[in-house]
Amino acid sequence: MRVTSIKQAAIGFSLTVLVVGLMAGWRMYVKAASPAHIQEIAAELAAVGKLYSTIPIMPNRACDKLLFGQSTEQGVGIFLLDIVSGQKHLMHEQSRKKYDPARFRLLGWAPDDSFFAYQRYEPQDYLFSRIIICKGNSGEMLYSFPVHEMMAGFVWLSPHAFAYMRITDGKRDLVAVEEKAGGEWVPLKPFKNITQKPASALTATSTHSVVWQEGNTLQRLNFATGLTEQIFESTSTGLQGFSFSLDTGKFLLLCRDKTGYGLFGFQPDEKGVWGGVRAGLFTNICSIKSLPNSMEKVLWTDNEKGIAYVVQDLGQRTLYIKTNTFDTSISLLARGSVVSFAVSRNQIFVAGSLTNEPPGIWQYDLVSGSLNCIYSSQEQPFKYTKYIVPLCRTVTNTSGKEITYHLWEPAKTSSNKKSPLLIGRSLYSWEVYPQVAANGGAFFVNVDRPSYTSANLNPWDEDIMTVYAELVKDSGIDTNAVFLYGSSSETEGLVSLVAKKPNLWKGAILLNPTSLPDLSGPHLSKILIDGGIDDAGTVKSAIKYQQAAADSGVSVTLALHQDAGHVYWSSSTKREQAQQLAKFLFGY
Amino acid sequence: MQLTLIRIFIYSSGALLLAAASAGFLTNWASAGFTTPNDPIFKISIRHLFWIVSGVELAVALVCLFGRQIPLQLMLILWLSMNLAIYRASLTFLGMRGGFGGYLANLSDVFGISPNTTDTMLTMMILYLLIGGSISLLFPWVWTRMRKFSVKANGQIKNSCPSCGGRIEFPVYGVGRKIACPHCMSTITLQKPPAALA
Repeated sequence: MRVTSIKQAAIGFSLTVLVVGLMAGWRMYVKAASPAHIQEIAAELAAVGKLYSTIPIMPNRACDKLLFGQSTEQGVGIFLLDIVSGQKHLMHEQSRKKYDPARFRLLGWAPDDSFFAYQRYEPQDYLFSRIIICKGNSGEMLYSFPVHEMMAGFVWLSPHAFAYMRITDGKRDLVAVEEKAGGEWVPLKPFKNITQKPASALTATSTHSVVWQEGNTLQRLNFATGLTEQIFESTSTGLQGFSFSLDTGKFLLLCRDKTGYGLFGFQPDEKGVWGGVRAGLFTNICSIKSLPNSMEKVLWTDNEKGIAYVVQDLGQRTLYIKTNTFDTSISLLARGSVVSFAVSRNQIFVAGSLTNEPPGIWQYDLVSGSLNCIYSSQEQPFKYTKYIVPLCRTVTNTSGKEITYHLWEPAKTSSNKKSPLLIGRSLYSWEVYPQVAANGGAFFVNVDRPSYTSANLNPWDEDIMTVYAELVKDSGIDTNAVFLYGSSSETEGLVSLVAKKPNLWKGAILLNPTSLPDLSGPHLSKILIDGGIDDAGTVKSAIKYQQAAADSGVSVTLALHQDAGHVYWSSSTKREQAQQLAKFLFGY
Repeated sequence: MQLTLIRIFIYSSGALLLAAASAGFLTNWASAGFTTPNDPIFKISIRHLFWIVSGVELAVALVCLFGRQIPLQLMLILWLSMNLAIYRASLTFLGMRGGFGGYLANLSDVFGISPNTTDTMLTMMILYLLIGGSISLLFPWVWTRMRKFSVKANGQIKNSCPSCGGRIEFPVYGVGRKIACPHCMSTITLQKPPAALA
């Protein structure tokens, strides 16, 4: 009897070891079959800080310090960069939880570089924020000025005074604030209800006057008289934006009509005639007939000797510089993409990528024409990742239209093994997923998207199909493993394409989708939905969709990130997203 | 012979259930971070359902692999397989076109197999446990009934253990066989009592 018991126990134990070993071995085999270190690669790539166009870079006048915003592990940070030493100092970090780009801003340098300011807020209070004033040379915080209303603009008037526009019940007031003895900053009597219309680009034109844009007009408030006057109105063209040079007192106006863009110099207090009407003195700088490309932000350079502006072409933002207004333009970051730029005297600072590499901040010297990287958001060299340079290609469709796309080829290819393909249509800029996909052994293709607006997504499916037809001629592509990807509104085009050609695609990767594939017809075999838990609309529809899909026998992998909304701000959310994407594509 | 077959079935069931439990635990561990749909019957997340089912599977597997009471082992196998079969049938009844398939995205990804294959494997396991458990429970009953019928026909012999004196009852055809005394475990040879000999 005892012998029998021992024998049974031995059998039981052996079977347990065998089965557990087999299951663990199976799991390890599946893991080993996925690309080596793919999770580490995803983490490495996501650690590259993201520079945001919502927090444009701001150099000081001496060109030895620069303020910039960048993603941090837990949210977004404001940094002070010492250009000479290359050292950066974190001034303030806002957690990704309920991050609001409209209330977390750089406010700029005082005219003599003695101070700089930024705006921060308490996430609990919707309207309350603080203007933080810091010492220009060290970044030491000197004063915290409370703002209890929504702030619509900020300008330094002098080294010891600033003004901001506040919105109360739809009315806009202007509040000037002065530094008193003892370092206290005290608000003066506000100029109430200066306008009820949307106002933007608040700019100081002297120590006692400010200008802002209101539709197609420029309005000026004189603090001495308290009067507001219209100094410019564009009647035949649309005023797209303006900038102002304190040194020369001259405006640079960016106007647009049906034929293209026009740049004008404008001195409101000089005598001149414009369109038969007595007005300030206008100078025709240049016209740029480059529709449908869009021009953004134009700045004087080097005391009005030249100009710098950004043009968005097929989603790619390029900086153009004219060292004098008659020169042909020099283009910067034409193969990469501009995030933001700023001018300080004869130096141009630009944040972005030269060739889609991890973005950095570049300094262009207008005198010598040299371009130097003063900061890179990739702080550590890659240990596991091989940086893949995208190839820019064009293909012509049947109606003769030229389509531009970028292709990231797999880091490693083998002659007898075909690679999956990810295809989608986004703006072309540095992103983590193309590098993750290519390092994992997949082709990644971005059919360049003209701009952010949804109208430009059409014909999304036609352009994708043209590029797809071109790509599948490559024998290295596994046509049974083609995935569509799309982010936010791009998923609308993706869904339409799934409906039209359901059998071409193995799966889809939907990042913060606004649209989801139909489940009633033929369906994809794999779908990944990735979203932020605070993006209420996406989360609700994605959870419902996953349930409905499961009930229909379709597997949907759903990754929801804590404390993240429709836009991911922090490096930790980016890392989670990149790692989930790698798991979905290459195995867990 | 029947006993050997039943033991093989119990061991194989234990191994299968242990494999299923391991798969469930590994899936939940490896896919942490993904949101799972709710199961349509109990309305709890598939991840929670995996923890519960894998826990129960593990318990039954350990009883099958290390337990000694065959009726209990078979009853547990049958109970679990019936529950799983009813759950599976309910999915079909509720109109879930893909059976388990749609709920097994993480499991299939963790083990590199398609959801449909995973669904088929699970269904086959349930059928094996259900059919095997039913037959195993049914066979001993039939066998015992036949033996009892046979024993009644041939009569019983009562005797006592020559070593401890404990009472032993055995069928006539057992005479001459060597067994372990159920009281003292001494090896004895079954014999007719002296009165019967006379």
